[in-house]
Amino acid sequence: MKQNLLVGVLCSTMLLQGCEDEPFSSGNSSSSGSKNQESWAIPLDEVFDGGPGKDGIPALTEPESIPAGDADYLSDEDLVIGFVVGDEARAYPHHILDWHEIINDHVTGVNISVTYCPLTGTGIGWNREVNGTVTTFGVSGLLYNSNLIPYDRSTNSNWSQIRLDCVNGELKGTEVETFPLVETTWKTWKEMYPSTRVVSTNTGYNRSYGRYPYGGYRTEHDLLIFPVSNMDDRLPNKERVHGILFQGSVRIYTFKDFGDGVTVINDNLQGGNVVVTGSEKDNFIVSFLNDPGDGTTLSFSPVEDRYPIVMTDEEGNMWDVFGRAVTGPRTGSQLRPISSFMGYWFSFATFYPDLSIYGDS
Amino acid sequence: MRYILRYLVLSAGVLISGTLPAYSQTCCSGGVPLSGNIGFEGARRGTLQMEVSYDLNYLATLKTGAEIYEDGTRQRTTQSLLLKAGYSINDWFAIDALFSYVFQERKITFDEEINQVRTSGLGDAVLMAKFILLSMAETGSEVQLGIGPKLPLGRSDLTNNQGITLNADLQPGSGSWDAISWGYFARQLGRRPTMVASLRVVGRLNGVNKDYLGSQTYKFGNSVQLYAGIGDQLIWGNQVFAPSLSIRYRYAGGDQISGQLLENTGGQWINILPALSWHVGPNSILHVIPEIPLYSQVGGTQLTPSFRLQIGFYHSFGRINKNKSKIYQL
Repeated sequence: MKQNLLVGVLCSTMLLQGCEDEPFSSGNSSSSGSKNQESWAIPLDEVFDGGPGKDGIPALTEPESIPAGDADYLSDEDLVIGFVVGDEARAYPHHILDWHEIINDHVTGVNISVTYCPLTGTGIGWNREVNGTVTTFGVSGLLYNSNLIPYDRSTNSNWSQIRLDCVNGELKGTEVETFPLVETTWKTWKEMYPSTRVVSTNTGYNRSYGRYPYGGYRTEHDLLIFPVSNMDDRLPNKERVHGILFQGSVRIYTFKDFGDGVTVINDNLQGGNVVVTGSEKDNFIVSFLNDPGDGTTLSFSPVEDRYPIVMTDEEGNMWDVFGRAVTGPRTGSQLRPISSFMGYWFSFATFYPDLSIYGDS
Repeated sequence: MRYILRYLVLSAGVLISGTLPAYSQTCCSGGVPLSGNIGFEGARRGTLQMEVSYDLNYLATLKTGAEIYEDGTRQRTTQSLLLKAGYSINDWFAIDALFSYVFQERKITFDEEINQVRTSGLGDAVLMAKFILLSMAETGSEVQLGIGPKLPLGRSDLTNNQGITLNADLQPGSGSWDAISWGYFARQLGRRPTMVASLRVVGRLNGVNKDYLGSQTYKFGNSVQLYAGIGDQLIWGNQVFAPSLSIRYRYAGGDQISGQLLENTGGQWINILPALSWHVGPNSILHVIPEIPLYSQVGGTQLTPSFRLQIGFYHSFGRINKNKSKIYQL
């Protein structure tokens, strides 16, 4: 009798554990929390659960920043993503972004989300004012073509970082407005903007910010953790390249196209004149439409040792790394931004199979 | 004898393979506890042993290496129903089987919002052939060796409610055929025939899930577990209790995706298990085994077990060995 009672109690306890999940089926799943069930603009069978779950990688919002001189946790060769509004420069180190992927910030009146995907190496500045509403973005825990899918906390819609649009939810089809960013080394960034502030490690989270959390992923070209829809072996998968997206066309620029000093490339893409400037030694590439706002096409040439100034033109203007005229007759004007960002080669090849490589015949 | 020699060679191969160096780790140690639960103690010919147990593995400790991050945002639980059966074909050979049903949950708390994903389903199973080389009843020592396959009965392609395929560590099954090698050694101590020291070794050489996320392969890291413990029987009133204390060491190599080692998987864990068994009848035992982490060194950063508990009921049909002293599933 005692035995039967014990067996009964034990089995009842066990069965109770699963009654919400229809126990003893061959397998099922359920989820709770805010979500949406609307259709996706991307193939759902190419969207994967990254593992940590929604907000399992916690995005930061308006984190503490410190002067460059106080950032002991950074060394000269560490990569940072830089943003400038007016005279205020802000650096977002990969050391922080590797662990948080999204930093929602407010810099001199501008609401920006610095989105960074460690798996595709893509860092893109998003305007977090969407349809007139200021929102914050979080990490959905989902990946498309191995790339970050942020979600906005106003509508819980899912967005594709590299596609630059909303792919699921109430805002599906809405395009992202981007801000120009500069990805470079901490040394170069400090040389460009000595008074920059940088995100501190006092983020409210306890993480090993000096440690890269993905092991040899950055250098092992064959290691892709999630499936991608297209591969292209023209370049090593993890080579950092600069991609320009313009009118449905994509062109890639590699560091080999740039010398130790500043190099300027005047190029044409889909009928649009673009200017690309960078330095292999100082580890940056940026690009703009060659249009200062009045339809003029300028002829740019490099400027050495005057960071953040990197270019001049036939009118005598000096242009900085964000495409702003800082001296000369066009002072105050800005070259028209173009959708462009740094990332691993495979990520551009996956999203844009028809892309071209600058200099390829 | 020939079979025993063959076993020893195969077993050594599995154990050695399980300890080959691998840099990284296993996802989050939230898998179904199959290796640690296979294998009964020896019984006489014709004895059928059965056990049903509930296993709770609660993971909320975020670590990098041996360092704990104070982070209350992530929780994982794995609850398993385990059904184990063993039949002694003769006094030196037995067959054991272990079946599982698993409930897994991932819970993230962020800005007071909770996001949960739950999966459940039939888990994988293990079959094992065991050789009893020494019997406790006859020699005061017991030596058993076993080997067998882990069968991929559980699904490894579950999706969430949007149709998105979930990560490997939330799947009830691993999708691979694995090889498990098992050794059990026990000896009565001193003048107390009821006091027994034991050592259990389990090696697991994992196969490859060849259909992971549609176009990739996934292989969980090979693992080795050592259990060392001591237990005794005590009489309280007219009831027999068997307290025991054991230490568990587990090493897991790194998982691999399409042949490439995956960061943030694998590691080493040392836990302590203060267990208590209650002999509720001549052939029946109820056991409770809490498991408390003492030390762990995980590969990369991962959630690691904070607490574990197993409650089970054992019953044997047939004659049990005289003088049998149980350290229940150390």
